[in-house]
Amino acid sequence: MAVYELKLPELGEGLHEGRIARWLVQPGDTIQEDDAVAEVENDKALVELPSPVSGKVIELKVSEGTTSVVGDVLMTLEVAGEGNVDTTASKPQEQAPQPEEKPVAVAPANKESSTPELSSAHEVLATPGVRKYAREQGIDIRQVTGTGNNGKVTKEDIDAFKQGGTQVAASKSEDGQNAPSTQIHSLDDGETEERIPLTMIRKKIAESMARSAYTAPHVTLMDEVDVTELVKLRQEIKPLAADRGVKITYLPFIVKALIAALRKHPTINAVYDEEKQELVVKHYYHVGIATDTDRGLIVPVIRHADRKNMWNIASEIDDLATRGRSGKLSPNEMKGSTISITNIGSAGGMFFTPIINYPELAILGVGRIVEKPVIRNGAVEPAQMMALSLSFDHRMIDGVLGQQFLNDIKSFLQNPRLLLMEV
Amino acid sequence: MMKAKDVLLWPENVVADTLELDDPNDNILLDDQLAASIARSERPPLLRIWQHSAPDGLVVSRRDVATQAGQWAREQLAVEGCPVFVRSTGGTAVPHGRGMLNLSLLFPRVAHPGATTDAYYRLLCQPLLDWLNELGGRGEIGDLPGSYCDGHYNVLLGGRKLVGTAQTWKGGLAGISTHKPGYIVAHACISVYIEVPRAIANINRFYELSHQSFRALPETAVSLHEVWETVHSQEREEVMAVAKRSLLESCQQFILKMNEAKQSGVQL
Repeated sequence: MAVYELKLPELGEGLHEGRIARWLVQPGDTIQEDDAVAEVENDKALVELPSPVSGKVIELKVSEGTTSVVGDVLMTLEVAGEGNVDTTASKPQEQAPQPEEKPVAVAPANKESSTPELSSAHEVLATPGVRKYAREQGIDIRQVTGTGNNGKVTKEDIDAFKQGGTQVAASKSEDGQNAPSTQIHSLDDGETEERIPLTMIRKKIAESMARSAYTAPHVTLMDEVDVTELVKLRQEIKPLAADRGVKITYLPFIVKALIAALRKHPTINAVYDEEKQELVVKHYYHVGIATDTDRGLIVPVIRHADRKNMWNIASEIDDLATRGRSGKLSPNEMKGSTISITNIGSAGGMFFTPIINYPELAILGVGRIVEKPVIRNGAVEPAQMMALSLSFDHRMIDGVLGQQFLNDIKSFLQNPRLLLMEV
Repeated sequence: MMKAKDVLLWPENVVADTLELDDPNDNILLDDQLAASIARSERPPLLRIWQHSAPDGLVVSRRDVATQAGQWAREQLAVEGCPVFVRSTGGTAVPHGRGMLNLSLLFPRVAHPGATTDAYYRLLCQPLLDWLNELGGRGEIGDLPGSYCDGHYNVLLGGRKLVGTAQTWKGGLAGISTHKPGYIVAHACISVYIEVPRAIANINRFYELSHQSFRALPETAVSLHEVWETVHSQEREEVMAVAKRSLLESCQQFILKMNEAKQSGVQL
């Protein structure tokens, strides 16, 4: 008798995992070739997994509800003739080559470092929806302690982890579990280097930035606008805002100015369909607001910003930013923007070269407002000057169009009364 | 949309037909019964075109009602006048009712390296794209965050979701060498004349009662009638009749094209 390992086969292109929804066999069962042994599901398909061999079930390697990745061993069978497991082979750790760079300080010590690497999804109980949610939130689900049935990770666990994630990860590390850990290596010349595993959100940021930068040829226009009137207006509005419990910043004005300018230049509120060689112009305005969080950059979206007044936009920006920083945004609140704004002014920056939130065509970078001397009617006067940097995809937007668009944004910010016509 | 290699999964003797039952539940489960029969080679592989039976309601996956909260949501919605039916394919809730037209690809399950869920989605979606093209529309395939039963293989019209898709694979591999022939159901539900806001409200109500966070956005969905009425000003049932007849014709054309491609080795 030999042992046959039944592994999760590939079910779809790019589909690397599936949830074991239900076992249809139990240890000790004798099954025939093509008998369905389990139901495997992802978000869009439910697939019965047939056994390619006849035999007797020895062990179910994963429990119901577990999400496994392609190639994971799901069960073992005792089969007549030849199996697919070489029971005479040496143990993997005996064959493992000695690493040339030996970690001198690894925190924490990993008990499983010399054993074959387990699947990343192997021992985590969670629904596909929760896994997806974790990915969207940039959370490595392996680090989350499940509080559901049989230790199942729930959406609430993900949310809780986001708020106190480092503590949870640390406690797991102290237990010696296989959480990603920083490794410090000694080099030949006595110097040391650290290798820090990336968080999911950092990986996504890296991918998104690289894809945008290497796909869309960026051009950035930098300009200044006199926002003296806008600064005054904001000062006037502040008490009213306080009465309404709204924190008013310059962003609602910038959002409105951006939309007003887009209405004049609709082809900028678009994406480029490379495959069909078409420009897809969006007749709706979903504005992404790049927001800095402890976990990294996120871009929550104000949907249909053209239909909302400035109070509502101000409230929504405040709400999105607050919840974004505490990791409470749903994935849908960070998707679907048609154009984006990024603000470096709050960190003291002036001009920069923002990376487009691809596949959008443009992003407006906002710098800080500084008081500068300007000449008005032949006299030198102080003015509040805001720095603007507009990056756009030069495949679809020519330089002149980009500057005209920026000029219109400037004119609305310079004379905020014009925005009244746009509300 | 389709890939040349998908032709290899096209079985022989595929037919297209409209088959419907009056009972709404039986009508939904007929897909599995027909497919099981197809897997046993008792009938040819089928592109089934069918309209839901009354009443209006929802169709959800088994996963949706696997929990107590899901069961409660199902019961409560029925009390509120929105019956919830359960299908065998995966995915999440979709509208049910006379305004929904369906296309089911019912094929035997085969042992082929190209037999992936994606390949069968492409085989399902291509005739839908052809059909929309013949109607004068331009469909697109893609995901649409915020839409009901979202996935990579929605059929979108004007950037809004017209068709949702899902699959199930059952049993072992088909053919005389297996004692338990299997089948594939790839299913598309087409909104012909549903009231989108009401349908989405029902879907959201279901997930609210199920204690699930998902909420669909009404602006992401569209019905054929909504697009069509601006052009043809036809009544809803007229639109359904035209849609059903033209989809059947499109599927028949698609079958001829696929048969020809498979025989001649022509790449689509």
